[in-house]
Amino acid sequence: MDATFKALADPTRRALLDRLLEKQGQTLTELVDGLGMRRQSVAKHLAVLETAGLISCQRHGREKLHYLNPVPIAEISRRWLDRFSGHRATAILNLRDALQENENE
Amino acid sequence: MSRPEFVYMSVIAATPERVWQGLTTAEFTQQYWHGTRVRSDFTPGATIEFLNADDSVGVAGEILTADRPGELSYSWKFLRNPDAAEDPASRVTFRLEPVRAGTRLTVIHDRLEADSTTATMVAFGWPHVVSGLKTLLETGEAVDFTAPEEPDCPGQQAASA
Repeated sequence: MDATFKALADPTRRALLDRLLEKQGQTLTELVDGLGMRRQSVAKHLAVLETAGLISCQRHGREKLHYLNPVPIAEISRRWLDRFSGHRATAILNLRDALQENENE
Repeated sequence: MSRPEFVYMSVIAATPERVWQGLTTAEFTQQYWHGTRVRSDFTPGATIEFLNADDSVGVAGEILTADRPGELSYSWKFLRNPDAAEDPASRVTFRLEPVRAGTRLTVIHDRLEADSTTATMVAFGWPHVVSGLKTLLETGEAVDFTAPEEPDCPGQQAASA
């Protein structure tokens, strides 16, 4: 979670995420285009976002495509919003019982 | 092949086998997947359905690949939304790779029509489903789908008004 906040604490990196939200699956070249930044520094920002898990990558032929991956942000939301009602299930215990029942069938 | 439309990724501290169970077992899915129960025998060509609490079918599809525990893919049609039900079937693929920290789960949703209702629902839903699975497998905590209770303060104001 430290990495998530660190990655988000930079306006350029947030702008890159905005651009991926507009259009998923962009190459580095596409992302550099119109940003007014050097390719090298955009690549550096992308690497920080990728390490934080906020960007997922996919090889497509010879191209490396970048996608917005909001899963770490959903985890932040889960931590402070979803627990609002204070309800915590003893899920794993229920689950183990259920799976064992299945095996016994 | 066109570029995939959505790619989600999460590293989960669990074995691929356990993540596979999380994706394919109703006991698991109803705890993080919008409360739905998955039903399929997970063989290529078999149907797959996600059942709501009232047993209505929320999502339906057909198993395309079932290579336990490495790759699972199926076609995808939202039935719970009338607009999305008219969209052509899309496709979801799960890749489970063992990594030092557990499993790298990649979810790829493609064969979508741009700006379709299905695409909007997919973009909104997957981050919650993937993070819900991660939380469940790592901590045992289920996602709470019950409506939160009426908060104290506004209720008290209304009562005293």
